[in-house]
Amino acid sequence: MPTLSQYWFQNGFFQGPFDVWNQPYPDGGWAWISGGSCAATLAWNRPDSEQAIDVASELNTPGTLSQIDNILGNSANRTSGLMAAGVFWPNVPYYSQNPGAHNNSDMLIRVYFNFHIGTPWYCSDANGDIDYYIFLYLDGSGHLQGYVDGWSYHYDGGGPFCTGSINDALNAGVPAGMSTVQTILDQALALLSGSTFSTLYYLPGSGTKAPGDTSENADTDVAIAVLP
Amino acid sequence: MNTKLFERVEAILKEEHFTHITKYSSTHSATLSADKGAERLVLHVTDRDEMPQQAAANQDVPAASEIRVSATLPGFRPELAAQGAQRFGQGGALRKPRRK
Repeated sequence: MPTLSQYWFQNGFFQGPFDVWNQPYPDGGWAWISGGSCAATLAWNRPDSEQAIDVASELNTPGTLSQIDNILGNSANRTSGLMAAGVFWPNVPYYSQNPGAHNNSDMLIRVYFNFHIGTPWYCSDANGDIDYYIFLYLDGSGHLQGYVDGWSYHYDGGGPFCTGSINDALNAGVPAGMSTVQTILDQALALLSGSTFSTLYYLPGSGTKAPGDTSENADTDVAIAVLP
Repeated sequence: MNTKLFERVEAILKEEHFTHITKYSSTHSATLSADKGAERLVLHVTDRDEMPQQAAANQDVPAASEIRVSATLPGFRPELAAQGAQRFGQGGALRKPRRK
């Protein structure tokens, strides 16, 4: 049974807290959704054949978290679970380095987590986030493929004298972690290697189709949706 | 980075009975700290400002020709979405699979 889903974003399109109403309806039938005040809204007619994969749920397994922790080594501590968000290409931090790398309407998945780095007594501790940007696509055979498109980090603290050593550690560890993230991605995509698809899109949050009202956060979860 | 200054300061600190003399160095900075009782000292030398954020693209990615369908909102214009006060919309058909 197809589902009409409408998303109401409180902060902006595909950002932050949002509400979703899912309204199933029979093939060839009709559906309507009423109400909702917000900064932006998205309505999506979701065929019954849609497969939606909740990215944050798939990532936060003990095995994956252990691999992610190996990226940090002893230089930093992970202080959150893995979060995922759909971001448009112009909002990716390294967009300005090569704007033509993707279309502006293309979306990437930002996989990220928070970290903490302790410092000597004369500096404040650093708290921030490490981010990997995943580009998913369908190849010429319709198989779902993906790669790590880039990385970024940002933190607060470390002043007045410790940002140099913090950057040294992160500049070594974060780019090197792309291979770990690619391995995790390859393992996940291998589960779908036997299927071919015609359409790929992202849905904010878990991608739930549960009828009725649900509140989620587009900054912490995104769903990969594919159609045969 | 020239650390001779640190060696001279370290020698002076030892003469002055400072303890816990510790040196940290990074690519563009070096820091020396020490203490003597309640007195604490820090010497920091750097040759550039370090920004607390970095970002870079992966240089080892598949060729664009391998990509048939990417995750996108067709017709989406990010610059309009950023203008919260302006109403706009987009609609259209989903991309159809290529005939084999």
